[in-house]
Amino acid sequence: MLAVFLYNKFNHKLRLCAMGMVLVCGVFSLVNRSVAQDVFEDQIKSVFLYNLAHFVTWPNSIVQGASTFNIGVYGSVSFQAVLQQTVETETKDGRELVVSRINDPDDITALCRILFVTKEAKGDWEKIKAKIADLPILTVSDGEDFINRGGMVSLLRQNKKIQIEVDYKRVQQAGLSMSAKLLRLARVVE
Amino acid sequence: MLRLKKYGDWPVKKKLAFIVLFTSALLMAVMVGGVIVEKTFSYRAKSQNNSMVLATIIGENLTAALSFQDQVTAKEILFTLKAETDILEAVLYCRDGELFSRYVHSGYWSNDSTVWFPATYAQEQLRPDITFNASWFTTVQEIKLSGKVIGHIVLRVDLSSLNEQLRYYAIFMTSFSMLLLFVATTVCMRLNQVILVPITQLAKTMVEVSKTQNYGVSVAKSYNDEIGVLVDGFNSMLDGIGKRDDELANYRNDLQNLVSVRTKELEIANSQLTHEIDERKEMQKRLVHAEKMEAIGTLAGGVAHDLNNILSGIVTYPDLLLLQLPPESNFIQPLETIRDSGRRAATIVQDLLTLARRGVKVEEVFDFQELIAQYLGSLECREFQKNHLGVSLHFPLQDGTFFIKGSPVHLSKTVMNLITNAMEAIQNEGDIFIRLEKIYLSSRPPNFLQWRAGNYIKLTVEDTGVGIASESLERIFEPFFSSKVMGKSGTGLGMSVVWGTVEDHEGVINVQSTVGVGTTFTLMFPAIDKMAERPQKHLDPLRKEGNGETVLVVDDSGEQRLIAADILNHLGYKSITLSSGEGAIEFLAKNTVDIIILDMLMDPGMSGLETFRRVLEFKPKQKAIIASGYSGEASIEEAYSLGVADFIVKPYSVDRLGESLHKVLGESDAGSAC
Repeated sequence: MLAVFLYNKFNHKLRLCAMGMVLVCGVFSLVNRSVAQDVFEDQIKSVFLYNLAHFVTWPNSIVQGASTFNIGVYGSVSFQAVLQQTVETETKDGRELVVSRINDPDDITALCRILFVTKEAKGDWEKIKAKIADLPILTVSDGEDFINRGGMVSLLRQNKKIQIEVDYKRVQQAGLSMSAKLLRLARVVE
Repeated sequence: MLRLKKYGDWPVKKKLAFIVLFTSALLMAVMVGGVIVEKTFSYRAKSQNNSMVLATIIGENLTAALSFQDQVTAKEILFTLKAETDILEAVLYCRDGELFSRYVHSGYWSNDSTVWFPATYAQEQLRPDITFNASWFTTVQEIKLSGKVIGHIVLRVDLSSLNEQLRYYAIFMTSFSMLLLFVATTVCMRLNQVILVPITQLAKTMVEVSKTQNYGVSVAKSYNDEIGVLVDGFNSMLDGIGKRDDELANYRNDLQNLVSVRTKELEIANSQLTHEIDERKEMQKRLVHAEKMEAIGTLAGGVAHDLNNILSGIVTYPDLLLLQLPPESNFIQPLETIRDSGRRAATIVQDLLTLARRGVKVEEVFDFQELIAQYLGSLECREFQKNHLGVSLHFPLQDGTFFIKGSPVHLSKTVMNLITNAMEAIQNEGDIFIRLEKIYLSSRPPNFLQWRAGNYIKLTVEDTGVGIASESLERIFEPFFSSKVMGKSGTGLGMSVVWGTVEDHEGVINVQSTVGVGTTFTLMFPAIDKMAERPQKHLDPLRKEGNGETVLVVDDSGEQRLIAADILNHLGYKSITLSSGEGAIEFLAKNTVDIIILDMLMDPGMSGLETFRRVLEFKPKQKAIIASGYSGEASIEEAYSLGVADFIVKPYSVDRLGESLHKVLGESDAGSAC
């Protein structure tokens, strides 16, 4: 009713101008919607990543003395930003959660507890894996085939759900322990 | 209050039973209620605790599923609650309140689910809490991860098992309570006997005491408790009342006895008073009569002495003259008339003197039948019968004796007067029945004031004469009262003499008379069982002459001395006459005589009695006869007590003086013979 009223009210030029604006807004909204879906998925993954920290136990020798709980993000800058936002006020066992972006595998230190390798950085994984071979770092990625390539936990989207896959043996080899509650809902890869 | 009063009237047994039952029931109800409440709360608390623990465990297990949004896993975990049959429903909420997963026990569906478990819960509603309903309760439990709430789990827990258990408890406890109540009542009723038995005994005794008024009973004391104290008090009270009653009964008995005694005394006193009044009346009557007699006696006594002296010549000398006259003499008839007239005058004087001398106590025991027979056979009686030839005397002699005590002379005169009276009452022909009988008087006959229970001799003189009019009947015993033609016979003193004689002999005389039919005199005298021992004299009644014994006659009257001397001489005695007592004493001091005849009254000078008393001083065995026309009763009694042998009434008659001298001197002879 409002459209019919406006259409009758304005002249032809104005009508053309308005139609153009509507068209531009429609294209823009489609693009924006795709970007928003990626952001939402990153948010879920960041929450999952944060939650993983509560179901994994690190060796006391590592944890003791640390004042922060460091999560490293290798790859997507946007994910690092989303994660940063997600855990901004959260703690792990009373320790502040610190999200840091890692650009170079050499930058990975023993202080890092969880290392999230975004699917965009899966090409660097071999280097990363070599670097953290014996470190008690939980490696997580949303890239496919991450488990098969020697990763510990992968967060894969299946339909509208994020599926957790765990190579529990590798987790144990890294000196970490994982809660049965997590293992119950995760798909454990042998 | 009315209701409470109604209960208050219950017996103690019922009250105790009610109290025990009520108290027990109340306690049982409280106990059952308490147990059920306690069970309810404890079971609820336990269930609540269990549900919270369960919710916590389940929540803990759900942390991963909730963290990683894995509804399938969450459902699987919730499904594990099927092992818990009490869990009806479990709902898992996300952190933001969205319903994440839900489990419903198979077979359970509640309409309330939509109410209690909406699809979303406001954040503020999802707080740890427990809400109870009649058949279930809900537990809300937070699900935390690293201290942070990531969701809520709500459990709906079934309470039907609790209710079932409570029902079981209620039934069990009620049954058990009833059993306990029954046991308590039974035991209580048994134990109540400890209280009830003494109270019942006490109440029973109280009722018995109030009914029978018997305060001698007591209640057995069972125990030394308050009831025992009550029983002691009650017994003590009964004892006190009993003692008081006894005392009152004693007082009452004493009072009754006292009243009875007093009444008896009063009755006796009254009886005595009545008797005394009767006696007094009788005495008054007798006094009046006696005064009358006394007046007559005094009058007679006054004239008798002189009259006797005057009559002595008229009575005595015709006898002496007749003895000296030849049988053919013309003076015999006139002399006999003079003599008879004189004798009649003398008889009147004697009757007067008899009345005047009443009270003379001559107590001689004799046979009354013999006395009557002697009189009937006497010359006097036979001569009297000659004047009443149409009269038949009937006196059947009986076997046995009829002893009485008294004066034979007076009683003989009494018989004579009665027979004379009867004869004169019969105008032409008739009968006189004289009867004697022994009777026993157990009660007082009419007019017999001197009656005493005992044997009596009853004399009945019955004639078929003209009878006495009833108005005259009461006066026949008065002196000079006569229903007969005046001057016909008698002195007018005969019945008075009879009455006086009967009185003197403690007897009674009654008279019954019907005009034209006849008169009956009934006399009763006290009978004597047997004749007293007394010397029997067998004297010749006809023998009056003496054998020359010396007789001293002391008389102040010269005529009497002369007459006496003539008679004594005629009778063959030797006579000495003196005019005074002093002369007689003087004479006797020097001389001895066989007997003295003393005139009682000698004026002036010593009396006959005083003379005799003086003579006895020097002649203690001197015999004496007192002669007097009149003398008082006391002086005659005194004379007899001094030892005077006989008393003769002047004027002297030949027969009387001869009999007296012969009797006195004969006794002397008999005594000396012994």
